[in-house]
Amino acid sequence: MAPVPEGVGTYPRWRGRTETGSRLGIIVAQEIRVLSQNLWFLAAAVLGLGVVGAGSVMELVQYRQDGLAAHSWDRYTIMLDQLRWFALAVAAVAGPGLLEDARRGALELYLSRPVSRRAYLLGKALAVVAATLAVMALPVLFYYVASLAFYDEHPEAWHARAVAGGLAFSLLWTALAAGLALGLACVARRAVTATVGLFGGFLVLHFAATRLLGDILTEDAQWQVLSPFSATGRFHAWLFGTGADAAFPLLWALLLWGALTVLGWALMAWRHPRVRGEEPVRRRM
Amino acid sequence: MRSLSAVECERLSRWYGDVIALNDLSASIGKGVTGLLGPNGSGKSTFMSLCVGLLRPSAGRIEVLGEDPWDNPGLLRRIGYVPEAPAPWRHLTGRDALVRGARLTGLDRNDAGRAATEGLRRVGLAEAGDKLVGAYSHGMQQRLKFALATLHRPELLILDEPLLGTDPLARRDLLHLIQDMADDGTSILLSTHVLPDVEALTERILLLHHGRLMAHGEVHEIRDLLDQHPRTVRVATADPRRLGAELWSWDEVLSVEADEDAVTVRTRNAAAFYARLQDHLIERPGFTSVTSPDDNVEAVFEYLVR
Repeated sequence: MAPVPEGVGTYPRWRGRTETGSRLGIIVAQEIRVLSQNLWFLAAAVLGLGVVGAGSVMELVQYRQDGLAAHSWDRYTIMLDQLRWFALAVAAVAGPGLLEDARRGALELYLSRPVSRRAYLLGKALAVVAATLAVMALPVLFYYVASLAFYDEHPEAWHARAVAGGLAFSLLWTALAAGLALGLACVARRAVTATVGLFGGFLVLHFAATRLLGDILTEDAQWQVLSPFSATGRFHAWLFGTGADAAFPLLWALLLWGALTVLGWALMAWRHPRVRGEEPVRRRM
Repeated sequence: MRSLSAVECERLSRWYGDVIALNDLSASIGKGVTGLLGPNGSGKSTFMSLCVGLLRPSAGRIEVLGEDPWDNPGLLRRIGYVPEAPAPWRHLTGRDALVRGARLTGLDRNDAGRAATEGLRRVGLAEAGDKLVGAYSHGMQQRLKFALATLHRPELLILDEPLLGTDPLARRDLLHLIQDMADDGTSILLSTHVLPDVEALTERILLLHHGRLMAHGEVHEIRDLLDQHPRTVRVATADPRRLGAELWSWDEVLSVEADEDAVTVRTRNAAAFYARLQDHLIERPGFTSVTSPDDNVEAVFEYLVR
């Protein structure tokens, strides 16, 4: 061979240490950074956190300045309901990152490093869960802090349930939305299919269960349980002590939530063909 | 199956549905540089994916540096892999991509920064380190992938078409980098369908075609197995016409062509021809070299696949 060209150095030996622990934190940080550069993700997160979250907190403060002495559960639960759609949008955009990794070559890079398949999937899942949860949990915390700062009188059981219940509700929704988003990403062929499938599926089911079936079976509002949105909304009654006249029992809601959540996570854990080494890691779409 | 080979496989097969990508491959690839040759769709990338543990064998076994590569992070600390796909993380700068790659490989934060700087310098990207990977040319991306794969000083470097689409300058630089690593003791498995690339680095090749192992060994050894095909030998001499006339009478010779400074002979029995030629040339000074154009991998490949 000819002499080494100018600007190209010789190959050095690595003499430093190498860590043997999991690369989980690095994967999560990387995924969140990638997400933060996705415009759809930013739009969903900013609208959720900014418009609904910050808007609700500002509304709460405004009521106080207008002379209202006490606030109610209603505004708080409405905020949670609205935030759920934005959290769902965040999960729907973030979950298909699994597919994007295959298309962009990142999966090949991850799996050819000392990163176990379990750590890779867990890192991706944690990033999606963190992003989804943040859209709901952060407004819950801000709302509670604002209520303490501006009001002396609170609804019954506010201190006991507002934060704990709000975070629990956020977790329930996150587990469902993130699990399904990741699960769909593992069986879909294209990222856009997974995103539209999840968000559109929830919308269609909600519309069908609350409107179409309601119109056809006018006396039977319990069909609303078929909407994941309505079903998980039933947890309001249980967590915050409201909605005693709910259309269907809590157990039904719990069963639907459990079935969909388990389905989503199971799909991700067992049906990612490229992570399972069943398909070529690299994929052109 | 315990071996000192870099890669050893036994009846290794990999299929996707009805498509067989790799079929019953048994081979032992020693340390040093080995070229993995074959046309597109011959199973090269599948074989490399199996070597790195990106795919699981459908049948058979594979060991890399004595270990099963499937879901084996410990082994991956000893391997560097340059995939064919474009460099990932296009939204990061070259430096950040290397730092992230180093962190994933197991280097701590400080070491990762140092390794990234060193990696950029080594592949000639020091000045482009703060540009986004997405803005890199193809050649620069290939260099970056090379740096990513070698940050941790692997014992075995697996390169999937590393020179594909590179300009002559980038090609030359990458070949130097690969040669440099080989000189430093790193075993290298290099796939390509551009045969002279491999020829510049090694004589040892493994030929795949339609997922099957077609040949494995030194280029000239493989060629020797093909004595049923006429072999071309070129003898440079001061008097080509005279030598040509003498060689024409030999039983081993099929044809003779003489030009201004050499005789080109086609023979069916290369071994016998070489033995006789050696004695003949000793008695007749004035020849300058004996070469066989058929000893290059391109010729071997042509013979084997057609």
